[in-house]
Amino acid sequence: MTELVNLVLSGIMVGSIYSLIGLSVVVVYKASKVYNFAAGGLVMVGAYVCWTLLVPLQFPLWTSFIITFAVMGALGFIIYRLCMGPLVGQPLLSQIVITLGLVSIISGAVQLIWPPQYQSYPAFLPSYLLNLPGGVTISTLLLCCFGISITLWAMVWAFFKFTGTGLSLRALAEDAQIARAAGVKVHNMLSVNWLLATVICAVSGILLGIIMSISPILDVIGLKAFPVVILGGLESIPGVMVAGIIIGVVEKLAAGYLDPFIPGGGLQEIVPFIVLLIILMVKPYGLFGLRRIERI
Amino acid sequence: MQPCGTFHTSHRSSLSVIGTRLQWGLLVVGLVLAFLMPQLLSPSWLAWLSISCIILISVTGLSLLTGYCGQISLGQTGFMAVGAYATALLSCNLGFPFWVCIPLVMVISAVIGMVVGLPSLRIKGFYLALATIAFHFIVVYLIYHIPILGGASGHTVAIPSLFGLDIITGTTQYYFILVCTIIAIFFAKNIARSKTGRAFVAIRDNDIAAEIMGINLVHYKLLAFTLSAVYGGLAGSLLGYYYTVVNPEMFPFMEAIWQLGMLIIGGTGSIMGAIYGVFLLRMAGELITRLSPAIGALFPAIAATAYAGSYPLIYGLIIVLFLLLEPRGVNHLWNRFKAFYRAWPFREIAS
Repeated sequence: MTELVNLVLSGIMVGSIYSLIGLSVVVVYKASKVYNFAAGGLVMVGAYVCWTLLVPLQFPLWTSFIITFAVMGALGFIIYRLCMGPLVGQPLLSQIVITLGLVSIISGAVQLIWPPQYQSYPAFLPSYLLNLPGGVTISTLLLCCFGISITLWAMVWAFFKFTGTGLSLRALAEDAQIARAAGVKVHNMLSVNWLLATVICAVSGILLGIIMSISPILDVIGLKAFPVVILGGLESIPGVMVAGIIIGVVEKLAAGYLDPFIPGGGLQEIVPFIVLLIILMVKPYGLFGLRRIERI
Repeated sequence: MQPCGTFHTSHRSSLSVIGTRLQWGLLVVGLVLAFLMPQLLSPSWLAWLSISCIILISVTGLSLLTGYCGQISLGQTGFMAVGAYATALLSCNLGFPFWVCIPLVMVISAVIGMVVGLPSLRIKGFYLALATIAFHFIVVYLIYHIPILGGASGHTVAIPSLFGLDIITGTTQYYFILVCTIIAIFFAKNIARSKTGRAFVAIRDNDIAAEIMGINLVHYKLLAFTLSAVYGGLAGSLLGYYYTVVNPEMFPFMEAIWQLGMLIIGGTGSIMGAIYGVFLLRMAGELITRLSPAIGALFPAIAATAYAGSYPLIYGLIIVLFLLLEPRGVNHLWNRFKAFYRAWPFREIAS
């Protein structure tokens, strides 16, 4: 029983980090209907940039965070202006393949710039095990990360619901031409959108760096974002948090209870994809997604 | 499109791929050159050419699925893995010779392709791409975790032998692969210009409209996936026979991205596009391989990972640049050039 509760709690907390990665994908999709495959790569770049500022360059903590956000925001802006902006009206295949090309570029660039060894962050969050009544233990590190994820998610949700820019972005998603006619500056809004998405990736990268050591193959974690956003619904910000937590819990439960039955274990990597396939066949628009009705 | 002055006197001849005697001549010269390659190329370049032909088979299948039918698929590397491992098991564990193995592998790949194609009946676009990505990772997971497949250390493949001649040297392997490639491209080109190909294009352009016009979506979408799986399985099988060993490292996810990129670079809606794209990107890769020691010497800081890192970087850069500057690929550039010189000194051919 306690093991079940432990698994569920740690699943919730790790799942919230998957939701953050998914959140950056949802933010981009909400405004421009482009699926950002490069989310994993951007998370990795964010993690590495912050690590470079913290460890070799020895910047103070908050300064490195601010600089990381600035650098990643600039990167998102540049990615939009150079790559995604010119392809705004183009067929879907071009938009998918250009983000895949970005995945390749980011992967190669990170491998070239940073050494291949595993690196870890200096510990600056309290990291001990809280013992709760009932024998349940929670790691305070994971709890802090969970708190940060939820806070950032709530801020993004509020941004999209209550601010003028958020409203313009939602209008862009509905119909870009009508939004432009109503006075929304499409390219500026989409640049801000990508900036926001990469900053979210930067935060996820930092959180991942805190929890686990980073290496040039960290972008595989971006693949976990796919089941999360599909389960939650590609346009839904509440959905992505719910879905991330569900995927995290399912992963941990599968790893905890089913691993002994599978030779070689490792169910953690594959369960999200099985969930993805089931969701795609049963309810492709996800739990909270909007159903698009296609007409000729 | 045929040059000016090419007149067709029957419906059958208007369907033809080769219109003029010059084109026949070029085709014959090209085939003869292809068969003479082992005499003209060094062994390392011949190896490059063999692997490029294998990837060409796989990208041709992808061209039928994504280029002609419009179903976005990132699972081609998964189909290659299926083909390679099926070959390994059939040839080593069951001892079948290659002329039994390869058709069996194509049948197995076809069945798996049909299953993978089932999601395409319900979902499109990004969702379908994600389903094929999930398929790829499930295949890789199964390879690592099914004991008989050998896990991370891989599985051997028996050496194919034809009438007692072992197909193991670079030259014999090249001829083996070349014959398969020529047959594969011939079939693909003919599928593309048949009723099936026209149905595919109709589905790509607007599948709801195609359904209304009477094209059976279930039949043609599953057929597209089956065909691409057969081509992928054939490519994987040849890859297994080439290296005589298969292991999961040979099928990374990046490979699927690059194959789709090769298709886009070459030109999405044509078989020739696959050829252009594959050879362009593979040439770039070979240049990186040959130049990376020099780059490592120039920039000692990145020398250790110069090769591993520049490969994805340059590939991604080429893909992104092509998408920004010429999204219709090399095929379109070539068509524009042909239109230019056929109409010269006029600006265009008035219709």
